[in-house]
Amino acid sequence: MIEIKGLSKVYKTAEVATTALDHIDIQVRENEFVAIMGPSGCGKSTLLNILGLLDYPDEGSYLFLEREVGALNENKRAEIRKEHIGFVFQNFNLIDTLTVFENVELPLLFFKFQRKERKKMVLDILARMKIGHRAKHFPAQLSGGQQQRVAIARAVVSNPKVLLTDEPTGNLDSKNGQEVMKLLTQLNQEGTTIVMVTHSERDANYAHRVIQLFDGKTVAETQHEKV
Amino acid sequence: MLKHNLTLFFRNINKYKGTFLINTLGLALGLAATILISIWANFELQFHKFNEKDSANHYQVLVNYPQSNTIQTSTFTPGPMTKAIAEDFPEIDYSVPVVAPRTFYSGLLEKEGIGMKVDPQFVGDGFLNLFGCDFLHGEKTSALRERNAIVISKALANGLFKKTDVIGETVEFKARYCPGLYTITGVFELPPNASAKYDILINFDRFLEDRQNMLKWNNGGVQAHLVLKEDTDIDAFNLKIKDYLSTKIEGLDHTLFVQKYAQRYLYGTYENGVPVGGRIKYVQLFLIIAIFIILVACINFMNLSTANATRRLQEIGIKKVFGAKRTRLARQYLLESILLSFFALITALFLVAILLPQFSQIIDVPLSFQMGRTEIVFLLILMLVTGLLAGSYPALYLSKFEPLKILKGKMTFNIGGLWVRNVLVVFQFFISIVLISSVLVIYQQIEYLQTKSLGYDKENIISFPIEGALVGNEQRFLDALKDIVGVKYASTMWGELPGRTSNSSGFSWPGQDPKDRETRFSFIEGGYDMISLLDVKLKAGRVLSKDFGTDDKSAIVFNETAIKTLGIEGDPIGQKVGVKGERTIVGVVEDFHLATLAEEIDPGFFIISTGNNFIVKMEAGSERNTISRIADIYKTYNKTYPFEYSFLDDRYQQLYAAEERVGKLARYFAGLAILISCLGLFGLATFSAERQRKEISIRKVLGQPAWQVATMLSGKFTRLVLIAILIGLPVSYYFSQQWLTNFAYHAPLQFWWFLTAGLIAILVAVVTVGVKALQAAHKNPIDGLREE
Repeated sequence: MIEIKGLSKVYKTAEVATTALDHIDIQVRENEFVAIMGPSGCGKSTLLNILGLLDYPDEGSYLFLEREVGALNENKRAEIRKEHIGFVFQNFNLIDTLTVFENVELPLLFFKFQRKERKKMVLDILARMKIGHRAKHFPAQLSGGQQQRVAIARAVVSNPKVLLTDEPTGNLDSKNGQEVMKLLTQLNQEGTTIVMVTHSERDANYAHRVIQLFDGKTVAETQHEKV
Repeated sequence: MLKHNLTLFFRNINKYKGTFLINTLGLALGLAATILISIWANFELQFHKFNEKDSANHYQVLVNYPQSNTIQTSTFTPGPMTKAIAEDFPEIDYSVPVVAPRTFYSGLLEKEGIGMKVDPQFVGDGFLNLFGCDFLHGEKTSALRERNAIVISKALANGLFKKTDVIGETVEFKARYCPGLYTITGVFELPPNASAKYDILINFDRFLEDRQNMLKWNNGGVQAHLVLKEDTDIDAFNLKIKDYLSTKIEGLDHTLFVQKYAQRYLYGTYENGVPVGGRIKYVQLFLIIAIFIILVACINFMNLSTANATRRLQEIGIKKVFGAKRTRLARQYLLESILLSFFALITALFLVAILLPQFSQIIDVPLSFQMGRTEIVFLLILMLVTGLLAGSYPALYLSKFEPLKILKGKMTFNIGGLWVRNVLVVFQFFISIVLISSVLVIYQQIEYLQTKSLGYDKENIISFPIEGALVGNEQRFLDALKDIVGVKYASTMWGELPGRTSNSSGFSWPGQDPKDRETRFSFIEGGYDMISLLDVKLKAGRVLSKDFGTDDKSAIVFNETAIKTLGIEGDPIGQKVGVKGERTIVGVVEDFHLATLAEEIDPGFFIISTGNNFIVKMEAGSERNTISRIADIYKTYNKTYPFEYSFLDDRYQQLYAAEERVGKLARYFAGLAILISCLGLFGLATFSAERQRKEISIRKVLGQPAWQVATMLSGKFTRLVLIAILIGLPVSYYFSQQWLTNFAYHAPLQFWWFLTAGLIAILVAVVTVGVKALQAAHKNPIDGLREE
């Protein structure tokens, strides 16, 4: 599903060039749950952003669903993000002027669904995320765990093939964190490929495979028994 | 999607009410100004368009007559021409002769002892059809067929009969021309878009019967209106009629051309025989001002929207992450600006409803606003254009943000955006400064026009027409006037001052170059006391006097410009000239302005003649009593005539009514521009204070005094206004200079006028920003740090 080869990313300022990713090769298969770990500044988030087509690589190839996407223009990237990729962020990134329902509905607005159909899809996913009773609330009225469940609902409501999550439990207490990880596992079991950046060993344990990055290079890969 | 966008729009309004109010109010003020100006412009553009069928082909004949160094254009054509030209040129469908009101004399319309002053208009067949008179009673097509038929205004009908349905009633018209009994055949209401204000209409043939000399080709005073056939090539037609008059009077070098009548009102100024504009300049000027005011209002929206972009960052980022393309976001922001423009339009319509009566009063035209289909379409277009204009830059700016930077929290407000915002603020204040400067320049020029010495004294002088029983009894009446305590001088004169009361060419003098034969002189024809009455200063010789016995036939007093024009070397006194017969120059007076100060002083002279008006100079301080005594004597002659007089200085002021109106309007619009600009600046200052809350707090914790913090906060805005002043003042200076070239005599441009304009702008801006800055600087620093 995802195959990157010799991918590099260098951030340049007037005085200094920082190599965030240094010729790395990674593959993610369909239905896989991959965790990416490593110390701060090792390039985890850069990798996730490139995988999510939010950033451009400087070198190397990126095949997504067997199509080279590394150098696509912004409109084509937006199209792929819309069709195939969902995002979950550490800080939830819910729009505070929209209700829970409206936040989750947002990605569906970019498709040509009828309102009725959209409503059903949103209510279904909210029910699955056990947050349906909060549909009319605004993000500020929810707990952190609830907000992240809404963010996950929003990320998967359009049934993307891949879910990219960046420290999904980073802003949550352990109980809420575990609940979120269970939800992600459930989604993966239902067929969603997940790539998760995390600092947490415990969260990484939910993944099938853990890729360790250091100074922009892949230094280790661990396959978990669950695969 | 629409519902989603609307939801976001209304929730953001609710959340940021201050920004919404500033944006809506700014745009509403801009739109209200534009709507008011558009109503007025439309009114002006509709002038002279009476009859849908014939208006498109309605032309007026104009006469060009060469002068020594220019070509003058006049609407006066020879009496028989209107009829003859229609017979001679097949392109003409029909023609209508018109002797406009005040061309000759006004009169009195009387019914059973009640008399009302009237300005008659003598018109040919077809007038009522062509000029779209609204008929309240009577049969339009046949109303003026009979010689003794008269059509009167609704106001007259009400005044004389206390009702409007007065068809068949007989009235007496007392006037120098066409007096007699008439039968009322129609009652009309003058269309508001007619420039000629007449009270009664009488058949043109009746006029010709009474003034037989008007049947001669060398007598003018008739306006010729033509309705040309469809598809007439106007250029070719103008070429054909150009020398028509010379076929009637051999050797006459006057030429003819036609101009669309609907254009005459707006394009009624001619230079060297060619239309060069006229009132259209004011219409264009104010439409440009309207566009600038809308721009200033749109800039507020642009600046506040882009400045407040931080509030929308998360939304933009998330939408882009989930696949929204830039165009979709741009559409959303454009929709928001159009919606805001809609709210502004509704507010603007309320403002227009409130302000229209005052606006009508300022510009002195009866404006009204009715919502028809055209108006609705216009308002919708205005709303859309404003919305798109205001929203275009924010839409482009906001939709181009990179989602990654937003989500990483690394969204720095790039220098480009800030730069554009600064440029826009500078532009807003640039417009305000140009408008403020214009106000000051116009004000100074009007002051100059009102106070400049005209070469004669216009104070305490009244005039009134010689009419009714006064005709033929002028001297007896004058003698009676001179006996009144409070009357210094009394005289008769032709025409009324100010203005070229009489002007003519074809005079001769010793050593004259043949081409100078066409030199036009302006002159005052009246009684012996005219020079003393007007207090025109004598330079040489003497004034005209009865004591010399022959001054009425053979003496003339020139002004200095005339002496220069004549090229007389040595002492002019005693020299002979051919001006209405042979005359001897008995005196030279200082120059005097007869026309407006827009024009150079004409060569001029005084001669003795009869007149059609009395002119009376009164002692200062007792004018009311004096006028009352004059009225008493007047009534002994004209019992049924109302005694209507006018002051010379009032009429002089009216000469500059157009400039006064422009001055007043410029004042209001300059105020509006600066108000809208300040609203925007206030919004930006509020935003800036919010963004710098932490910095303000730290500065205060470190001991910086509040006034220094406030200076720091307001400094950057003050700098922008200073830049606007630096750009605005030279531009204002240039335009002021250009405008003043319209006047042959104008106030010298003063540096301090522009300095004042700059000071006003900076003061208003500093107060606006300073209030916000002081507020922010006086907040408890702990609050700012805690909030961070």
